[in-house]
This record gives sequence, structure tokens and C-alpha cells, in this order.
Amino acid sequence: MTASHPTPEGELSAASPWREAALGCVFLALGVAILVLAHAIELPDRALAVSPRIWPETLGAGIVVLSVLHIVIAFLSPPKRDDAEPATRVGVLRVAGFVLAALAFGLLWYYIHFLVSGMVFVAALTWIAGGRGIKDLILFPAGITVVLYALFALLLRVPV
Amino acid sequence: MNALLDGFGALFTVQIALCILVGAAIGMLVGAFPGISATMAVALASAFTLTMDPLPGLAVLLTILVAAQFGDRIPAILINTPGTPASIATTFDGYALARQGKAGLALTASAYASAIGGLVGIAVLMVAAVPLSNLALEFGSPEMFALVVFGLTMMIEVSGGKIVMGLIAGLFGLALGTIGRDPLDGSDRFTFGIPQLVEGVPFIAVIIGLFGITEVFTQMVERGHAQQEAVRSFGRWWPNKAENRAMIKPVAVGSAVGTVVGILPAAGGDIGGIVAWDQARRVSKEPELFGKGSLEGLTAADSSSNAGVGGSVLTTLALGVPGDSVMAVMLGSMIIWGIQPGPSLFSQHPDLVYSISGILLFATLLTLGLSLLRMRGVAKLLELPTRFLWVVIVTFCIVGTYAVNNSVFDVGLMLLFGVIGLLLRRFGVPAGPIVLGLILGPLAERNFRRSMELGGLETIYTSPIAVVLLVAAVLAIAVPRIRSRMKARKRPSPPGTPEPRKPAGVGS
Repeated sequence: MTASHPTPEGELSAASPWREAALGCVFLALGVAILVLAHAIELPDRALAVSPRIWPETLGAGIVVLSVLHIVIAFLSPPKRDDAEPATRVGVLRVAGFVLAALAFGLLWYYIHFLVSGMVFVAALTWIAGGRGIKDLILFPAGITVVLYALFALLLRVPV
Repeated sequence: MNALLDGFGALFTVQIALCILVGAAIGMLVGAFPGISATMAVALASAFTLTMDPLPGLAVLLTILVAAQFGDRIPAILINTPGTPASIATTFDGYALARQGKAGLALTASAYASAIGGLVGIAVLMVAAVPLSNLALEFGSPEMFALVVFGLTMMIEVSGGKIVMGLIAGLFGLALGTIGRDPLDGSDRFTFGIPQLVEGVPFIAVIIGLFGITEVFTQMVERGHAQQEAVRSFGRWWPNKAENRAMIKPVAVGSAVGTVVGILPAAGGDIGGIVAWDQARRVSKEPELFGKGSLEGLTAADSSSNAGVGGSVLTTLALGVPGDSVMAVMLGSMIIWGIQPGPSLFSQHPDLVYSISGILLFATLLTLGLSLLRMRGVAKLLELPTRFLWVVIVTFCIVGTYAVNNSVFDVGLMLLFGVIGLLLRRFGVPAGPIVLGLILGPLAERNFRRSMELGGLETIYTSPIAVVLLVAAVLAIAVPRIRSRMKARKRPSPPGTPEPRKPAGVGS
């Protein structure tokens, strides 16, 4: 979140209209899906002033209309890209590693006590984040796990 | 007067004092660590505080919010990195001052300005809350629907200039809000047979995912760009008489702007700080110094973002509409505690409103003291290696989200929204409107359909309050755009003047 004052308008790199259009298509599909799902809502027997479908259908239709508008704008007006840093391969792998480790922890947690599974999980995350050595992979995970256990299980009585 | 005494009297317990102390310590640390926003910290802490009584719980959450808005100035001034989005405008002049060897002066002036702004916001909360609540008592379904529509217009303001995409994101959030029971007949909708969705999408999990996890994932993905070195020379710490005098006007401007912006639904301290910085520059005798190390610019921005806390709390309590994303999380906690912010809160629990004001008051004074005492110590914590910071945030997010409902499903949902948030951010889609839609969506649908059942659209357009709110909603969208176009035609910006960047999220 390093603060950077924006570059002048001319220095902003143009994003691909196809990229923006693809994003618009994703939301278009989402809008259509909401419309279909809304149409499947069963109507109650008693008479109502407005259908229970009206709100989700309105939202779905709104997303469809705005998505089409976004796709049209993407081609009519060259989109400007945000000044976000480029993604790194290592970073993407780390994110994937964190997610997979969290899923594995969810399974492990059922079978092994939190003090053990939690420490393994924190050690795995630290390793994925670049930590190496005894301090990073044993002492730090042990400390964090004990703090979490004391806070949640002992103080707040959360069944971990 | 009885309510005032009862409200303040309820705070004089050891438990509340401890809660405020703990909240202040957590908030200062949270603010000082770039990457942990006040929204995320409050959302995470709400998982802990849900098991407490409402008042101690609120003491922790509100103090975290207040203290985070003191702590976040430290990295903003020392390493040009806002600790939370509320200190974005602090970087404009704070870092420049630090590079001139005036880091100590900047930190002290910032702390005083933040405290004064915060106290002004609290005073407005205490004075204006009751009249505003009397007005709020006139609110039925049509008026509430119009109010929510007004709140939803803020989707545009938090869209970071991408209006169409912001609206799509907002509609997506509103659509997420339709998952669960139908608000009128109670039948299940869009639950796909998943029992955890019957009560609706667990928004704490969504918020932690979209803000906390997304922030960590984004930092991971973008890691590799050069980090600026922290400033090590602090210089003198206390402002002289001339500097104190020079800060009076910008602090007044900042406090006024911050309070007004805070009252507006969904406009947070980040927007308030940027607007105040701009307004203070307009009325300054030395506008050319703004962006180059102006104490006026620094104090205007910081007083504004803290004044916004009182305003946003006022809106949340009196109208039941979140003043910003942090208050959206707070609103969720209150509802779970059985406190329903809105028109009836002030008639049923006036003492609670004064208790909340008291918590904010004590939190502000305590945090000011801590800020002046511990600036150097907290600054050292910035040296914590990022890998540890990431792991701590993710682990606490996971266990904290689990603790809300003891649900692994919620944890999975949080991770899913963390990944969705990362993708949205990479594609430049603002996440703020999604949260706004998710929070306000059920309220909007329920009141719209009730209004229709009561007498159709006529109940809305024959209600003076509803009409005023709907007109205000239209004006809130139209006026800023018309004014900015008119200004752009009249006066081009001078070259070299830094233009504030709007945050991608909801003022969190």
C-alpha cells in the first residue's frame, strides 16, 4: 500500500479493451445467472403487491445492462490501467500455497489437536512466505499457535 | 441529563478500562502496520468481542478504530506508506516533512490534530444525535427505503472513478444480500441446499476476505517493488508558537469537513482526509507548500479523518446506515448483540449512545497520550519482517472467522472472497461497493417490498422525507460531477501539484 502520487494522465499505460471486455463478459454471465435463478423462485399462493422475484430480477437485469455498457465503453473509449504493481510468479505461487495450506489445515484440524495442526499450519505458511531456519519454522509457529490457543480456546472458549 | 450520567457512569468499571486499554494497544499496532486496515482489525476483533457483553465489546472495537487512526500516521509519515487508507492524505505532507528532518514535529502535530479532530466529531455526535434521532423516528418503510437508496449512492463515491464497474460491483453485493431467507415470506432463496446460507451470506467472513486476506494476497503477488527506507532522524518533537498558530485554521477546516463527510453514509476518513487537505489548501496563505511539507496540509488531513469517526458513528446509530466500512462491520456486531441501530435506539437506549460517546472520548485522550509517549517505540515495530506479518494476519483471519460461528464453511468463504478480492483488485474492480451492497441490500429489499405491500409506489413519493432523501440521492450523484466539470473548465490544476489518489476500497 505504498503511497504514490499518480503519474500524469499521459503516462498511464492503456489497458487492453479485450481484457476489459472479458471482465464485462464475466459480469454479464453473472447477471444472466442471477436472472435465471430469480426466475426459478417459487411464487407464494397468496396474492402479493409485488412478486418476490422483482428484487433479484432487477439486480440481475441491472448487472446485464451495465456489463454490456462496460463492454461497449471498453472499445469506444480506451481504458486506463490502474497504477498497480505487476504480478510476480513467486507471489502467485505463494498465494496458491497459502490457499492450499489453509484447505489442508481445514482437513487436518478435524483429526489432530489444534496445538499440533495449528503449529504445522503456521510453519507451512511461514515456509511458503520465505521463512527458513529454526526461529522461523519452529519458534515463531510455536509462539503464534500458543497465543491463538490461549486467546480463543482458553479465554474465549471457542471449541478449537 | 440522566441518560448522560447513566451512559458515562456505566463506563467507570475496571472491565471497561481494561477493554479501552487493550483496544488502544491493538489499534495503535494495527494502525502502525501497513496492510492491516482498521476495517479488517475491527472485523477480526468482532469475532472475539461477540462473546462479551455489548458495552465492553463496543469499548474494544471503538477504541481499536480510534487508536488505529493515530497509529496509521507513523508509517505514513516515516515511510510514505499509509498504515490504513485513512492516512493516505497524511503522506502528502507528512513524508515530505520527515525527509526535511522534521519527522518528530510531524508526528507530534499529527497526534494533536488527530485528537482535536476526534474530539470535535464526538462533540457533534453528543449534540446532534438526539435531534437527528427524533427525525429518524418519523421513518417508516418508505423513508427507510429512500434512506438506503441515498446510502447506496455512495457506491459511486467509493468506486475510485470507475462508475460503471463500481455500480456492477454494488449490484453484485446487493445480489449477495438476496441469498438466504426471503424477507417477507421466509422461504429459502439461492441457498443451493447449503444450510449455512439460510441465514444469509456471513458478511464478517466476506469482509475479512475482501479486505484482510485480499490485502495480504495483493502484497504477496506484487512483492518485488522497491521499498522506501524509513526515516531515522526525527529532529525536534514540539511545535513552536508560530507553528501552533498556523495549525489552528487547517485543524478547524479539517474537523468541520471530516465531521460532515463522516456523517455521509459510506464515506470514511480516507475521503474526509483528502477533501480536507484540498479545502485547507484553498484557504491557506501558503498553498504552494501543500504537498511539499506543509504542517497545515498534514494537520488538516489528520484532524479530518479522525473527526469523521464521530460523524460515522452518529449516522450508524441514528439511522442504522453505516457511516463507513468500519461502521458496517460494527453495525453487524451490534445486530448480533441484539442492538438495532436506527430510529428506535435513542428512545429505547439513550444511555448507550452517551456510553459510546464516552468510549470514543476516553479512547481519543488515552491514544493521544500513548501517541506522544510511544511514537519512537511503535516506529521500531515497522521493522518486523513481512513474512511474519503475512502469516500472523492470515492465521488470525482464519481462526477469527471460524470463531464467529464455529464454522469451517465461513473460513472457506473467507478464503474464497480473499481470492475474489485479489482478482477484483487486479482487474481494477472496487471492492467497497460490494460490501456496501451486501450490508444494505437486505434492508433495501425488505423496506421496498413492505412499502409496495403498504400501498405501492405512492407511499414513497407521497412521503416528504422519502422525497427529500431521494432528491438528495440524485444531488449527491449529480452535483459533484457538475461542479468538477465547471471547475475543470474554469481553472486547470497548476503543474506539479499532487492530486490525491482515491482508495480502491471503501474508505477502510
